[in-house]
Amino acid sequence: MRSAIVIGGGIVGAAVAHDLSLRGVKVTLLERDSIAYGTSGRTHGLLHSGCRYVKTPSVARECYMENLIMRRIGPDLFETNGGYFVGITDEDLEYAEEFLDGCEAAGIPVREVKPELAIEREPNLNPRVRKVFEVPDATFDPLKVVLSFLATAKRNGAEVRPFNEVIGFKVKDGEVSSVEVFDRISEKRYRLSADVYVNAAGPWAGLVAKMFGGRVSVTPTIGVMVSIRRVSARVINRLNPPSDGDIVLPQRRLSVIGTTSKAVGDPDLLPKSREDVELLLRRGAEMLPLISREEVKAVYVSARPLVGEVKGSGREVSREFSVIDHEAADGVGRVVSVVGGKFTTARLMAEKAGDLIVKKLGMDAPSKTKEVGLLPHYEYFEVSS
Amino acid sequence: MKVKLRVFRGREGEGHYQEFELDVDEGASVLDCLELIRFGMDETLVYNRACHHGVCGACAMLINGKERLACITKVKDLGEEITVEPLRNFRVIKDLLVDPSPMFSKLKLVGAKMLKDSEGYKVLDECVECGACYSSCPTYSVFKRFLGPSAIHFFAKEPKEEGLKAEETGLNGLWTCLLCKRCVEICPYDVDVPRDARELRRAYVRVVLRMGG
Repeated sequence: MRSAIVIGGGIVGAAVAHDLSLRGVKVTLLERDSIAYGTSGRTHGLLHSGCRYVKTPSVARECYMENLIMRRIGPDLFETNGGYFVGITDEDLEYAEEFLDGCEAAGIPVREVKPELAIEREPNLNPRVRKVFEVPDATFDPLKVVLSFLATAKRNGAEVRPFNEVIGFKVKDGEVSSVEVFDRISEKRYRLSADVYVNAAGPWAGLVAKMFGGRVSVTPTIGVMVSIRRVSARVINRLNPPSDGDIVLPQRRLSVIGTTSKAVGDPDLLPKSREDVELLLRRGAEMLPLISREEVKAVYVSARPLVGEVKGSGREVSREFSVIDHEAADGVGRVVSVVGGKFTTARLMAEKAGDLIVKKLGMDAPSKTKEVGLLPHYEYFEVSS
Repeated sequence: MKVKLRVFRGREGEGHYQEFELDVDEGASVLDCLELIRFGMDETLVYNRACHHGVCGACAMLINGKERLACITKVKDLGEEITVEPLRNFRVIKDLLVDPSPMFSKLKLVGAKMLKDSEGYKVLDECVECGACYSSCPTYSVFKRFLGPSAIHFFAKEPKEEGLKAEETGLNGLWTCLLCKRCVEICPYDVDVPRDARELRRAYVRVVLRMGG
C-alpha cells in the first residue's frame, strides 16, 4: 500500500488526508500544534456563495459548486440560512448591476428582496437599506468541519498526530527520503518516511518548503475579526467590491465582523491593532447600527495563505490555489505542495493535489470526496481506556 | 499592562507550576498570553485551541480555579496573578492539554446533532462541546459512567425510546443528574442541562411508562 505524510492539520491537510485515504493511500498527518489552530480555526466561517468574488467569475463559480458539495457531504456542519448583500449608499447601488451580471455569469442563484421584507426578517438591519439581494451563503464552526474530515480519514486508515512538528527533511539523490519530527507531547524526536510528502502548511508552507529546498511563495496576509453577541440570523454582506469590514456573520451565539487585509512576515505571532477593531465596528454598524453599542467579546487575527509575493493589502491577489509538483518545479522528488485557496474550496484543492499524487505514485484511483459523506466530528476522538 | 501567569506544567498526577511575567494589551485574553509564551518564551508549552473567539470550545481550562474559555477570558478581569490549569475530570496528557474523548464518546452514544431548527432557521447548538461542564460536574467527578451534562443536553433534543430505556443513557444519564446546576453556573453559553434532564424525565414518563399527556 502506498503511503503519504501530510504536513499541516488545517482544513487543507485534513481534506488531503481524507481524499488520499479514500483512494487507498496510507496517510500519516503531522500537525505541529493543535488541530486547526492556524488559519483554519480562525477563518471567518463563511461557506461562500461565491457572490463576493463575482469580479472573477471562475473563482465565484468554483466557490458555489464547492458550497453545494460541502452541504451535501456534511449535512450537520453548516447553518444554511443564506445571506444578504445590502446596498445602502449610491456607490453600493451603482455596483448592483455589475454584481448581478457577475452572479449570473457564475451561475449563482440570487434573488432580489424588498428592503421592508429584509428588515422584517433581519430586524437589526439599517432601516435605510435600499437594495437587498439574497444569496446561498452558509456558515460553520471551523474546528468541527476540520475534525469531520479527519474523523472520516481516520475511519479509512489515516493516522493523525497533532503536536508533532516536522523540523527537517532528508533529501537524498534528488528526492525526499524522510522527515525529522519532534513530538511535543513525548518530547522525543523521530524519523518518518513515506512514498510521498504533502506540504499543506498554509501560511507556513513557504517555511516548510525551505526545509526541503523547494520554492513556495506564500505571504501570510492577516485579517482581523471582532466577535460580538449574535445580531443576525443570516450572513450580512455589503453590496460592494470586497473591502474591509464588509461581512457580519453568525456563529453559534456570536456574530463575527470581518475583516481586514495586510501582508505580514511571521505567521506565528499576528498583530492586532485598535484601528482595525474600530474600523470593523464602524463598518459593521453601517449595516447593523446596534453594533456600535455592542460589547466586544473577542478580537482575533488569522493569516490568509496568499499565493505569491504580496505587498500592502493583498486584496487584488487571487484567492485561487496552487498545486506544486516540486520534482518538476525544483528538482526535489516525492514532495508536493498545495497552497493558497480558501476554506470553502479546500475539498477541491485536495482533489487536485490527490490527482497529481496518485499519478506520481503510479496508481489509478479517482477522487471520491464529492460523493462520500463525512462522519460526525466526534468520531475523531477515540476513547482511550 | 503587566500580568503574572502561573501555569501548570506536567502530566496526569505529576507536575509543577511555572511562572511567566508578561506585558500585554488592555484587551488581551488569557489565550493571548499563552500564545505569547508558546511562540516567544517557552515553545514546550502544550495546550489546545482553534478558533480564538469562543465558538469551538477547544481552549477550555481552569483559570483561577474556574472553568473558562481562555480565548474570551480577559486578563483585566482577573487580577494580577492568574493561575492556569487543565480541566478537571479528564486525563491530563500534558500541561493544559487533556483527553476529551470520554465526553465525545458520550456525545456519540446519544447521536448528538449540532444543527437544530430555531424559528425556521437552521442554527448550530449553543453548546460548543468545551467540556467545562464535565470538569465542574460533581457527579461525573465520582462516577465516570455518568452520561454527563452536554450529552444530556444533546440527548434531550431528540429523545428516542431505546435511549430513554438504555442503562448508559437512562439510568446513568437522565436519572443520575443531580440537577445541582454547577454546570449552568460554569457554562460559557448558559446551556441549561438540569432543564434538559427534567425534560428527559418527563419524556420517560410519557413514552416509556406511557403515563400522562
